[in-house]
Amino acid sequence: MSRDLTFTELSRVDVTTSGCTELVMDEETFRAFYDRTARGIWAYLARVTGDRQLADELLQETFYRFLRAANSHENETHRRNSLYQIATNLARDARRRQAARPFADCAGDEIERIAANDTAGASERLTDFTRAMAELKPRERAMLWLAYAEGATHREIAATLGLGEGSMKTMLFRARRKLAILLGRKEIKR
Amino acid sequence: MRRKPVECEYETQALAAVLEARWPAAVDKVLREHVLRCPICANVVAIADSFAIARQHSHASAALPDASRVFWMAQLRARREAAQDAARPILATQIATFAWAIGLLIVCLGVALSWFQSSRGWVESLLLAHGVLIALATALVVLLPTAAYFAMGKE
Repeated sequence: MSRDLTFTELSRVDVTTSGCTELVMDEETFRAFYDRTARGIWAYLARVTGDRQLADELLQETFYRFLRAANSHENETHRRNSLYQIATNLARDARRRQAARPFADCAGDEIERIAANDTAGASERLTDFTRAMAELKPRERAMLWLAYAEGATHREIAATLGLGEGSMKTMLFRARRKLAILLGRKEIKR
Repeated sequence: MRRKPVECEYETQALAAVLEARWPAAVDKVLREHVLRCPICANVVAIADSFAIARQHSHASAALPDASRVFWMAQLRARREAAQDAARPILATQIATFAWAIGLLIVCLGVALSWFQSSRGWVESLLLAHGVLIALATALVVLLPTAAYFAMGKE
């Protein structure tokens, strides 16, 4: 199975050759874009909200708003960043409406699903990871996921989350340290 | 006081080593020793592998709707919203017209009432003489626009 491209890899995609330069997408262009990005967006929404069902709903809403926004995007990376920005705002709004359903709700079925073909304790590590992520603030989950699962740069994370680029390094550093400690791996002191 | 560093120049290399499954066996000695000494890189290594596993499983377990369906639904919703947007000015015009008509009616009633009070005797004699004709004319003036409104509304 081919994996989705990361932000960095997408920046290398030449939009003039892929035919994605139009302002409003036609169906064919949308299909290609959706195939490249939907899994990543869904995973991001599921991890940030902690709710698979909500992630399903927000995924469709994200793509709808993206299509309706009809902003001009310079390249695939810019387009993808817009998509993540929309997803972030929707997740934030949903969280406010729902008044925080327990994050760990999403972990159960996912772990069960992978338990059958578990290799090298992957399900155990995933359980630990999901629990540790649940302890973090939504913004910390979002920035860590974007950085380490999607390969986004500090600038891209700042733009997606609506934060200052200057403070991003410190915030990411703190979130990473917090997660590492929650995962039970103590910092190695100098 | 010296600020504690929040990033490390080896961070990207350490992350790449984990994501490419080279950590720890297939990385060079310098990087391995650096990660053991550097708390930043140690944390990167500690969490990167978990993210890789979580990403892989989230992607695999995502039950996504078909792209064509999402596109079709978006088109449908866009059309519906466009129709609602188009109907909004018509509704505003209707409300404004109605308010204007009510205002005009109040003014006319006020004028008519003062006129009626000042020329009550004359009106009474007029009503007695041409009562039927006035009633017919009033009915025509009220009923004709009403009938026209309903007829146009049906169309």
